[in-house]
Amino acid sequence: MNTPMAVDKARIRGVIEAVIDELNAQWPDRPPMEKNGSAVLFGRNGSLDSLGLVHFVVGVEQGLADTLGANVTLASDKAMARRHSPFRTIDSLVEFIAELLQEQAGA
Amino acid sequence: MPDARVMLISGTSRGIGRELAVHYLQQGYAVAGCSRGTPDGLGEGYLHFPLDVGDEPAVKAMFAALRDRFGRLDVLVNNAAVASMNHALLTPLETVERILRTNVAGTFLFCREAAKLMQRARWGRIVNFSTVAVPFKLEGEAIYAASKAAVESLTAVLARELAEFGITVNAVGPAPIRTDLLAGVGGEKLQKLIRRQAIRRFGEFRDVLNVVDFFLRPESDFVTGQVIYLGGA
Repeated sequence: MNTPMAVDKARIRGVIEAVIDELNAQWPDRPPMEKNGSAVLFGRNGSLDSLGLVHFVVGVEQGLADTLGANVTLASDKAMARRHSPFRTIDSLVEFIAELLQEQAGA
Repeated sequence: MPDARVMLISGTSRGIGRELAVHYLQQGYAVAGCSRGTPDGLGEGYLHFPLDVGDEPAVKAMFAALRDRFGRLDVLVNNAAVASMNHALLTPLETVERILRTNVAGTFLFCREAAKLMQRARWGRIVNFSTVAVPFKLEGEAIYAASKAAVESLTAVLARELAEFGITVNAVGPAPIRTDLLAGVGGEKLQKLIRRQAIRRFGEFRDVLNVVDFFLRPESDFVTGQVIYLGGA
């Protein structure tokens, strides 16, 4: 496993935005997902339904592996147990992923 | 590696898994396999990962390595399994946990990680392993049969969940085949089991290969969520 030593949040955000672009292109009939960091992705008023979240999470995991060489599982017990879902917004997801990568780097 | 289709088979150190690896290498697949032991003589085109199928970090690392090496996965055959042939009253909890970890959690982990790779190409075939012990409700195999019943449920649900990714999920339920898994089962018990089959003989490796081949055929793209039992269970 190739784990990055320094967590680059801009690159994480880039991965997420690329997935959003890809999904928006795949789903022309749906309202497009926004790339604004505070736009709600999932949950109340979110742009993703439960199946959309599956595509999104798998896409981000694959993107992190492609771009950063990081092998992470986003849908973990840790993520689900949080009071505020890391999948709520792009900003919260970037923070969550950065935390996971930091933990991996320190392990 | 050329553009050969890529197949992952669990439990390749011996028995059906090893036979499957030999067969699909001959068919021109790039075959990767895994087991706690290491198989001998599978030769060129075969890539082995020594691991326990219930060890999530090891499994994820294997899939990452497959991804790096091939960039794709076309077929997963979830063959690895353990069994314990005991009366329920003589079955320790440790045995129960070990069987469920390998047969159920292991199968689930492999399906989950394989589907993540397969969905990139919107195409994939997953073949799980059940057993005639499920429909026969064999006494003395409570936990083994329960674990395989769970695999059947998993197969049916995953077939629905993964259909939109172009992935089919099916299962084969072999009749008794002379492998190490049956080493501890008495001859009379096996004969009794075989007498319950419509076709009363031991299964052969070729019988299993035939069903797996069927699930993998391009024409089988409308076949998913099915369990095919050998011998007429």
